[in-house]
Amino acid sequence: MTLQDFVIGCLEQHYNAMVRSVDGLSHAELSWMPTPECSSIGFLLWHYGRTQDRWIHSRLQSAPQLWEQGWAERLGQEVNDPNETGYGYGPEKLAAFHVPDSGILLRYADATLQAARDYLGSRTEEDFDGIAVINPRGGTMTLANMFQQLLWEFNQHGGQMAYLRGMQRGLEDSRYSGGLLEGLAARETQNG
Amino acid sequence: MANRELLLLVQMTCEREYLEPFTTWYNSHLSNLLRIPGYRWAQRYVNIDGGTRFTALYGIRSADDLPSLLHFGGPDLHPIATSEFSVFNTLQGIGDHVSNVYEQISGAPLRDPLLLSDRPLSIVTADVDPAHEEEWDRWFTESHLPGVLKVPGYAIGARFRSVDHPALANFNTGPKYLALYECDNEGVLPTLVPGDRIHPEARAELGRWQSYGEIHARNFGWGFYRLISKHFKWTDI
Repeated sequence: MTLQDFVIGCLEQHYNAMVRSVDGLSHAELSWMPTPECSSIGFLLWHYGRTQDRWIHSRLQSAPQLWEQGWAERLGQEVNDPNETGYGYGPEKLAAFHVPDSGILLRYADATLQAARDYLGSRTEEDFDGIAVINPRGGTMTLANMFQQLLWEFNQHGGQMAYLRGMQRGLEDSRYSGGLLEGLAARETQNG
Repeated sequence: MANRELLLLVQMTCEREYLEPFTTWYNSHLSNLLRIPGYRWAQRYVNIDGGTRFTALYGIRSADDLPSLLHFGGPDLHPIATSEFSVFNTLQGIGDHVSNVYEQISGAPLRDPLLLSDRPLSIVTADVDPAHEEEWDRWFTESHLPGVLKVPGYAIGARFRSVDHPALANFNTGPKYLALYECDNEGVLPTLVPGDRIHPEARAELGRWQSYGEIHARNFGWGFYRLISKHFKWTDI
């Protein structure tokens, strides 16, 4: 497995976990915040798309984000600052945030995932150490560092989303292991 | 047609005393079906007028998937589909069950943006007198659907026609034509139907329907539906 395929696999596994967290929820459940200082599942899903969109387009390619090319309007929001990703929101901004419908949110998330796939598909293994990316905390970092950070962030938020779902819908199915193990086992069974 | 996304519509009623087991089964049914390659998404609705008529809508990747999804008794039916529908056949209290696979013929593209939002749906189904079908079909697309969408309260809409396919020989049971309209919210619904609050534009379009569309329509059905749940497909990894 190449490093590109490994990263894409991680991103897809994370996306699937988000789909699982959102599946079957009402808009009230999607928007629910356990306290005014906590995010909702819907906010986290929106933040996932915004974060990935900014990293892949603005920061890696100096290109316009999908957000600026129609997705903000489709989500019922204004473009304003393309650096607006939900990062650093406090109770007031979280309370004022209107969660879009989950179907549209997932389409946006999926579009940013596809952009990440396309970007990684255009890179070589050497690029992970060879490409310098601006570190928003100062200086630069490698492309490998950037994806390490992105995967860490997505795993954090994915866990939060699953926990928020569990608070409303109860315990997760104990047979669920993130989808990867189940998929590999099913393929092995199919292949005899 | 082979590469176009198709829409499966399933409608049925359930007697109130059997609603609980019916709902419990349905909650897992949609998720289970989405494990079959070919199903892309699924959404479930209930009639807004306090009834117990339910609608389920499913996205199907293409006509090539129909043998594994819906060809009951066929050699390619997926085991999950076999299992799911064997349980369905044991449910009690079910009535007025119809199902059809449709292809889109006009309007807002399916899932982009049609049916991406949680807005209430107006679902219209009809057959048409074959002697007037071509003319009626054109009138609906060119006059009626745009006329409906001019009525404040209707947001977007689209038309569909049932699909002929060998795998569906014993499957399609509903009317040939389907129109779906997303409404802004449930608050506008009294302005869209006959009554004291009907909007003048709605009254005018209803008049045009009665003076032409209804005359040639058969098996006509119309209802407003509220989203109950929506389910999404995992990405293959």
